[in-house]
Amino acid sequence: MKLYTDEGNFQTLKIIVASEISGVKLEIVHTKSDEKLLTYLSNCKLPALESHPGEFLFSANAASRYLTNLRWKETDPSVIDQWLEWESAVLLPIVFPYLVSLIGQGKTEEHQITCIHGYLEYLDIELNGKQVLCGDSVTVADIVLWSSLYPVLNGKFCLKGWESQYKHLQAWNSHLTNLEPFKAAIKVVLGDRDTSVLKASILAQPVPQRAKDIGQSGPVQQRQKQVKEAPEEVQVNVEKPTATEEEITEATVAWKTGSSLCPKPRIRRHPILPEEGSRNILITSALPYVNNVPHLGNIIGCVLSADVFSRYCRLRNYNCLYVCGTDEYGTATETKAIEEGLTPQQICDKYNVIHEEIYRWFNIDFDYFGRTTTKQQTEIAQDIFWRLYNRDLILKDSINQLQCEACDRFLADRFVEGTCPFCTFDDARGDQCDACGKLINAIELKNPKCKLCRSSPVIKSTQHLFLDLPKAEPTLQEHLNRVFKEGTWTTNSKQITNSWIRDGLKPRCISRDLKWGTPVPLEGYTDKVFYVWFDAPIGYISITANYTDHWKKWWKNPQQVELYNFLGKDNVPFHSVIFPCTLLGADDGYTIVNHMIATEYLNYEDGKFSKSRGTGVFGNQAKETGIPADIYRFYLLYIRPETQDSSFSWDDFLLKNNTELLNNLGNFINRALKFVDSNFGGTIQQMDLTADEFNLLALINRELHTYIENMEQAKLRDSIRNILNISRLGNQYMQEYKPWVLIKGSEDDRHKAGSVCSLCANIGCLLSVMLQPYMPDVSRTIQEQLNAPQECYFIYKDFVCQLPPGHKIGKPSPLFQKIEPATIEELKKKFSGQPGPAPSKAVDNKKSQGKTTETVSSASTASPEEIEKLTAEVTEQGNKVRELKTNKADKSVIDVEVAKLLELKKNLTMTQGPNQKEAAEEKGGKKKGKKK
Amino acid sequence: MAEAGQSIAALATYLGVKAGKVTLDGRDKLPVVKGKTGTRRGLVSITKHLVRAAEKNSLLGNTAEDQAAVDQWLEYRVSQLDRCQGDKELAGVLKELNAYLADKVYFVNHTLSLADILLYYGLHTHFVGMPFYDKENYMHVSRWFDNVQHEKGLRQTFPYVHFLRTQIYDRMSH
Repeated sequence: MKLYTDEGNFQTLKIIVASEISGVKLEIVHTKSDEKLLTYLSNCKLPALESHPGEFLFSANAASRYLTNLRWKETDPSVIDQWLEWESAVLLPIVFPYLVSLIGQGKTEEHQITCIHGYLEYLDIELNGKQVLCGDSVTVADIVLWSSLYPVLNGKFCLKGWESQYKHLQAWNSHLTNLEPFKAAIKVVLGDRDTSVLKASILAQPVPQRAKDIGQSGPVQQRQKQVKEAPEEVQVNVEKPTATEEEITEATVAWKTGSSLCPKPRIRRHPILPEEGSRNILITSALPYVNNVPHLGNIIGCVLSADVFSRYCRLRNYNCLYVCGTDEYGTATETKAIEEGLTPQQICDKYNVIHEEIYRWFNIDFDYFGRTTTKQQTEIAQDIFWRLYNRDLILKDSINQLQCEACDRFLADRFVEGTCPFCTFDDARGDQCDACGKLINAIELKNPKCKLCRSSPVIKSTQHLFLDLPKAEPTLQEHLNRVFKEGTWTTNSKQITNSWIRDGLKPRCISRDLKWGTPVPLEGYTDKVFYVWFDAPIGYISITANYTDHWKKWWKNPQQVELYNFLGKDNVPFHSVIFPCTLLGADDGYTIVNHMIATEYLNYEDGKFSKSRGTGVFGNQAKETGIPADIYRFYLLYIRPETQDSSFSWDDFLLKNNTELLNNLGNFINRALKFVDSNFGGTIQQMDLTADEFNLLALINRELHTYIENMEQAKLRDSIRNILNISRLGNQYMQEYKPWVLIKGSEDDRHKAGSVCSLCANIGCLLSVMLQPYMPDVSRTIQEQLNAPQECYFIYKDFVCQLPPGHKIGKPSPLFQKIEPATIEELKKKFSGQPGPAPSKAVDNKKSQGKTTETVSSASTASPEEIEKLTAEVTEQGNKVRELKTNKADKSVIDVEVAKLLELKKNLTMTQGPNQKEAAEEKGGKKKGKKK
Repeated sequence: MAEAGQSIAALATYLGVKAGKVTLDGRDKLPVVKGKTGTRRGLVSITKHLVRAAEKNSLLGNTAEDQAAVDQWLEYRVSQLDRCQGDKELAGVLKELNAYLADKVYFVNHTLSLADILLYYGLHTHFVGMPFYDKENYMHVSRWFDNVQHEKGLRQTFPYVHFLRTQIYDRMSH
């Protein structure tokens, strides 16, 4: 057998004594205290006995009992059970922290010594008239207790004068210490050194916890007894964790010095420009594509995440600018315009408003929300292009493309249909065949047809411009090396970037044969426009230029400005490789990304969001559910797909609202304020805090510090936990002191009640500020109810008293509403994408079948409603077929229905035409359309 | 700790023996049962005694190795699980148990033991309010828990905890 232990671990004594007694030879393997031996344990608990290869016992008691049982038979196992349990559950949780203070930190705490004396006295009584703990010979109970008490009773750190106080214990201890197996164990663990060699191990090993709600005899409790009533009923009072002395001192100082420590919040005056000496932060959120209505996944992916971060930055008095806007150029807009019979500009105008409305409803606080179809965009994009061109970073090359002579345009892949070159399916699209699923190069299609006019396009060679990425790579690599080290980059953003570079950069085509885009200014290419992925990131710059004429102070100022990009993971390469290459290549002192915060995807229930199938909640629908925007914000951030894909689930939504918001946060703040309001006329009382309450302040500070730490690294999901933890601490505090009982008591009790609820109101004030990035409306409501001063909208590193005695609060009212399961069921159904009950189904069905030819001929003008209707029919027919199959219906019946289904599917494909791409785009995260 | 009393009472019912009255010892809130054969202190000691009294010794492990493993997990229930001070620590315990149970059906050696029973009772209150998201996150503990709660006569008045058969959160297993 092997025994794994660190050097000088006093718990190892137990196992070695036992092995000496059992005669089992142990091979002792010394491991470092921080080495993880048992993969399933999160801490590195030692010692561990490997009883059989791969089989470990991580409990020293279980291990030593196992070893002694190989030799001895226990006469009364129940008594041994009790001693071992007492040792592990009662004694060690006091001895261990005592040794941590004494040997580890060189100090002692009075209450620990008092407790230890209590236990020694108990043992002394038990050992009266006995040589050993149970029976008449040494058992594992003696071994275990002797080992844990060894450093307390022997050597350099022994408790002064215990021998004379506890005679029977003394006899027991010296009897055992002189037995051979015990002597041998001391030699192995300590060698010839004194007990200070135990220090490293004691400090490294996890400290066992004491029981919750230790009895009232402890001195700590005695002190508290003066302020709180003795608990009569057996109630589970979670024992409060204690902060370190330094933490408590720090908390006390901050509390007593008060709000004078906090600087005044920075006033947000537009235009915001970088300032000397400030931390200047430029925040961008990936530009949403104009004619996609964003779903909840898009919203959490970039705009909402960037919003939380920028609100946090403002609360920390950083000088920050948050810009975003709609990305409006490209094929998709052109197509949509043809469909709706409008000009591309009109389409953009129409959808830009929809976006703005959605973000306004979600409380996204942009400093400026612009768009890419502006004069500045053309100027800046063309300027960058010329600089690249003049620095030989633009290559010219020809590619073959299909051109429809009738429409006088080059056809994008999705505008071509024809026969698949692989499987001869006659309805393959320009990019992929629906039948065999293979990817197709549009010019390889047999009998290609223009999707709009059905005429045959011809293959034409056409000249295009390419960005020479390989040439720009060395400077990019240099930049990345620096910002990877200094900046905050999510793991996925680093990984994606590295894999792109590892696969080798190739020249990328930056021009397109379209009309709706930024025109290429180069002679011979003036009928072309820039491809969206070259164009769109420049949108960040041009949108800033629309915000202020001094845009260069942000964008050509890498010394003073830190640039944060928030985006979905599908957009990473464009922001971390191509755009930086563009800007570095332009060599014009541009500000280049320092931090990249990329999210994973958000799914909806067990599937994906899909506009065409009506699955999931889209931006414009959220409002109709009647649930406030802040609740959506809270939930989306709570499940923010930070490190892996996550899922929006209505059940979980209900649970989070009803438990975390209603029962925890809302309950705490409302209870505290109502108490101040009804018992003290809404006036904050004198707060005389006890040591216990300063401990609470220190624990709150701990959460606040982690909150700030997380936020600095844009770990937005984790910081929500800190807010909720503070509220939990507050709830526990109120529960413990019970001001509603105190208020009925003596004058002192009434005074204490006022102090307790006033402290709670101050905690509420802190919460309202910390909550502001997540739930701005709720934060404002709390602040109104507190009548909090404007100056408190600042996150200071410690908890300070913002509401001094005498402060008048406003009128409290409940903050959150319970969501009923019935409501959730309804919402689930509404957004599940199942076809709703259509009254004239049968008629509709016939009609559309009869109209097949007509539908095909007017393929491009099919309205979204029609497509939706057809989709619903396909789903319904699909369900019908499935049902028949599960019920094992007659084959002929099934065949008929299957034929119907295929026909419907074909209709849908025909009708959908160019829209199909849109459906695909909505899967997963963000605008995938840009990937090409 | 009211929970320890509950665990003892439920175990006694499961074993078909009488537990006697459980009180909590003033000093360290150790559960105490005063019986004809003497006073027993501590959740582990009391429950092990009940198992012996009911002559179901196999629940304590049949070999020396198994007995040690059962002891170790009983100690874990008392010293780790019952002493979690907040969500964070509980999450740590669940994470450990989840990792341990990744390739196991029961805690010790392919059969139900007292370790499973006491950990089930001890975890029950945490599982009742747990969102599906977490249940899926601690998939192996959930699987074990669901299995144990179906053991005949074990659950009694403990509310049934629902688990989804299909995962609703993609790629949540580790």
